[in-house]
Amino acid sequence: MSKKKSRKSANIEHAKPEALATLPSASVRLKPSLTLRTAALLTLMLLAGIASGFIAWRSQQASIEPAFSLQGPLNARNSCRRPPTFFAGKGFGRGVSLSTSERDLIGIAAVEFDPNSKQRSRYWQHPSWSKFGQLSSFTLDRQGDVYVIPAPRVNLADNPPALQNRLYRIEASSGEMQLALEFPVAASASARNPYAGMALSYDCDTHSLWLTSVAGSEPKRQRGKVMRIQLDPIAKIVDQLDDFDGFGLAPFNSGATLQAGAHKPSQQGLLIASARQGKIMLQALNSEGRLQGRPTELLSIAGLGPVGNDRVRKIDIGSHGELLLHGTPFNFNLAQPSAQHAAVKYRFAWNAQKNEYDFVDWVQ
Amino acid sequence: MPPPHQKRFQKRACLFALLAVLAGCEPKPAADAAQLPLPKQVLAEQQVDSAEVLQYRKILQTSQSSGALALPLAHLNSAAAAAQTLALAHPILQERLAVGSDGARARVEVLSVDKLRESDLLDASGPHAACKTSDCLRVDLYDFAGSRMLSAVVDVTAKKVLSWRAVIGQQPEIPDRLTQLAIAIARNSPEVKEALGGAAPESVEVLMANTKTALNGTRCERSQHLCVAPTFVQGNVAIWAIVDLTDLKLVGVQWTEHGQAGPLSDLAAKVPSEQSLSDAVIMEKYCERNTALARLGWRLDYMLTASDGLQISGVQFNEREVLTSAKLVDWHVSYSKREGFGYADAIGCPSFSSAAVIPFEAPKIIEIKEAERVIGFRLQQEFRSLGWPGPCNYSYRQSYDFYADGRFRPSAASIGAGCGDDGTYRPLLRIEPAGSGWALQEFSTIQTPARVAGFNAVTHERWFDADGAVDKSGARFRLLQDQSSQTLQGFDIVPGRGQFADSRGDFEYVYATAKAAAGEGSDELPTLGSCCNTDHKQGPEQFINEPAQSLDQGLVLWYVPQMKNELTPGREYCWANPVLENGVVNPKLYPCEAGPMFVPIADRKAAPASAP
Repeated sequence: MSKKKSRKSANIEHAKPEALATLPSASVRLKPSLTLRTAALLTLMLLAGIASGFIAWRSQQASIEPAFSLQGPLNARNSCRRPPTFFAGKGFGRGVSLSTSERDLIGIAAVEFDPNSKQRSRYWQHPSWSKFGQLSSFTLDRQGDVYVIPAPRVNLADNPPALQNRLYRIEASSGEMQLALEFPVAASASARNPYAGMALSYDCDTHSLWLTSVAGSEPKRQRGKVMRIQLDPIAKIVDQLDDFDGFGLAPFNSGATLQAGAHKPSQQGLLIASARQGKIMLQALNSEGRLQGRPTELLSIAGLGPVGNDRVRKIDIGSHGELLLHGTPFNFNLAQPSAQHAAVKYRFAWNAQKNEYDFVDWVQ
Repeated sequence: MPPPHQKRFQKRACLFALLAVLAGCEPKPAADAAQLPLPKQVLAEQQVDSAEVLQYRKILQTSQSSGALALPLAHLNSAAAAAQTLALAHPILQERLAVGSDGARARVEVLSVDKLRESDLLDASGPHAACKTSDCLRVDLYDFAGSRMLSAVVDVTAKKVLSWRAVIGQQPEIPDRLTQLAIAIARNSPEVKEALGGAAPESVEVLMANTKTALNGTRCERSQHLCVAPTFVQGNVAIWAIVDLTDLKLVGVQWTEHGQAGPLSDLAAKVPSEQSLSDAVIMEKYCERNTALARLGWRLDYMLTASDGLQISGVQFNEREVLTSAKLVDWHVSYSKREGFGYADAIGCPSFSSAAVIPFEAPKIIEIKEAERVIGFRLQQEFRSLGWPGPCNYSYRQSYDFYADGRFRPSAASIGAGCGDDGTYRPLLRIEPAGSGWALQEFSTIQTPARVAGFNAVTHERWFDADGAVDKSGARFRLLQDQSSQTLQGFDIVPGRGQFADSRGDFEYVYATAKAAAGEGSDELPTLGSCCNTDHKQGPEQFINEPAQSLDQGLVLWYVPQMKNELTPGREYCWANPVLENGVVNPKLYPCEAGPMFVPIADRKAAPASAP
């Protein structure tokens, strides 16, 4: 990158002396009026050049956003989510949940566990739920529809790399699962990077989904994307951050100002975990919920927990703004976390004195 | 109409102005675009204990022999010494420390005796309430066998232990004696000497005087051992060494020429961990490029693939091409007591791969000796799950043996420890002989109208059932390369029938397929076949065409042995047990290994195949 730039600027340096060398002799030969007119033209053009350079410099300065610092604890933007109704009549109790991590089941399943034995006591799958291979992150929306993405587990037998850049929708009442969207990738998933979609999060304020993908990323080059997917009338990508390998993510509001008699958030943003490090990044959103600038580091779980090297696969924002970060080992391979590393949760709490999040503890 | 020189001038002026505009538009390179030198990293080679380590081991042994539960700290003030004595004499400590089969207790050392922390006094009604009016101290110990910190709160006035707490996953502060030992281990390593420009200072004191030295914390995520990172800055070179204080050895070293030496605290943020260092070295050296190897007449390249294990390619013996490539496509693990339960595991690079089981160390080259004479060498790579040897975690070993007499043997070993005592391991080996003109023959003991007793030609693609007959020399197949009716080279293919180390026999399925285009294994193969089929349907049968293709344009051999695990004490096979020995936990290994020996028959008169 720097080489390319220096080569280009060397070309400009080479062109300048050539033009300058002709000026003195040319000016001597010109009539005064012509010289004056041309000099004025030249001056104007030079000024234009300087002005355009200044504008370019200013815009470059503007693109280096001032750090997006939080003004208060975060509020989740997913509290409008509703459970689906397809459970009705299936005999499940209040403890029913959806799971994509049942070792003996492919896809997604409705499961219920015995509270005493902690063993799975009941499960149900719509016939369409196991047709698309292993699935991973999922979320509900305000209508009870479920959105879910595929990801291979242990091997690629059920998850051909070419079919990983997909978002599926499970209709709230029928339970039918169908393809909702194929999202863009820098390159298809492959044996060298079998992953595409990493995590999903629903945004009540914009009735859209946020999705992270690492498809096409390479050891020394991040080519992942963070995308906002508008859900109505059809699933469609409306905003996108390129060249960032993200994992868990959560849209948030923060701070509140009274506007027209109502409390409006003074800050909107997105927390995005890095898939390459234990960092949580802070991404600003504008008042319309669109991405603004590039993400900056908010906090890190590096060195914390039983292993000290987890990535954050899921971010929960609590009712008091506390953060619960679900950690997992992740190294762009299909190695599975051992029982020793299962489900480590890292808690961070807002420190009003310092205006930042402090690490509280981790639990397993 | 302006004169030509004026036009020329105007043109040039315009060009100049345009260039000025363009120059203004050209973004300046970002300040961070200046490339910092990339760090250099190495993993430590096998080490011999230095004098300092030997001395420390002796201290530990003496402490164990004296019956002490833990190695105490010396030179403590009277209150701290009293607290230490009370903690070490406490019955709970004795109850909770494991004792190994060799009678040795878990290695435990006192790390510090210090004042209580605020967190120890938070609960006013808790066990430490007395400490508000009494003299209390906290005694921190480290249990190297359990990789955990043990903390006792001791009321020195009342001469009583108030509480014990065990913490896993916390980086403890280590005492000066371990700091000195860690620096000594780093100083004595050839890797640190290389980073320091070829010669390490003669003593720790000199090293510390000549360099800015700090001891940073780091993690050994995979071994779960207590590790630290002595960090040195000498001139413009910054060195991080990772020292494993459980095994008392160096893990690896990272160093960089970082320009002006900044404060040591700046370097703390860049401390590598066991995993980051090992992955970086393996990825750069073995996943992104081939490594050439030439020994005992053999020449080959090797590299780690994304999903097909350690691949060798361009294999030659005495300048003759033998193999285009060989690799291990998948491991199938099935469990007989649970139908359809098992795994198809790929092995390969530690990151940016579809491997489920990955290498923690670089490939090794080991001499093969017979009566103290080197007769060959083994190229070997181990792969592990993070929780191995815990249940449902796996370790696989892939090897290629090459002998000075032209024999070679690709093999695969499982070292457990699966999900039960009913596991069968089936590695899928793919072996592609170099060039064309190869003819395969299969041995038969039975004479029929279609075949003779002896070697019979195999002319078309097919698979061969497990555990077929072998001739007197142990060969089940014969592979001959002919050119212009002359035999260039040939090999007897000798499967394992219990004659090799760590083997009870291969029970192998074999497949011969025509050399094919991409998608049949010449490039990376994703998961092939099902984990849990118990018959020949292991995956390679998919490449046998209908009708079967002729093998005369080149062939590929697939070798799928079957190893059934056993956990019976004294007869363990395909298994590993964590064992407490000499105060620390190490896995006891019971590998099961399988693979065919290729025995050259060039010097023998190759028997012509009997045409059916």
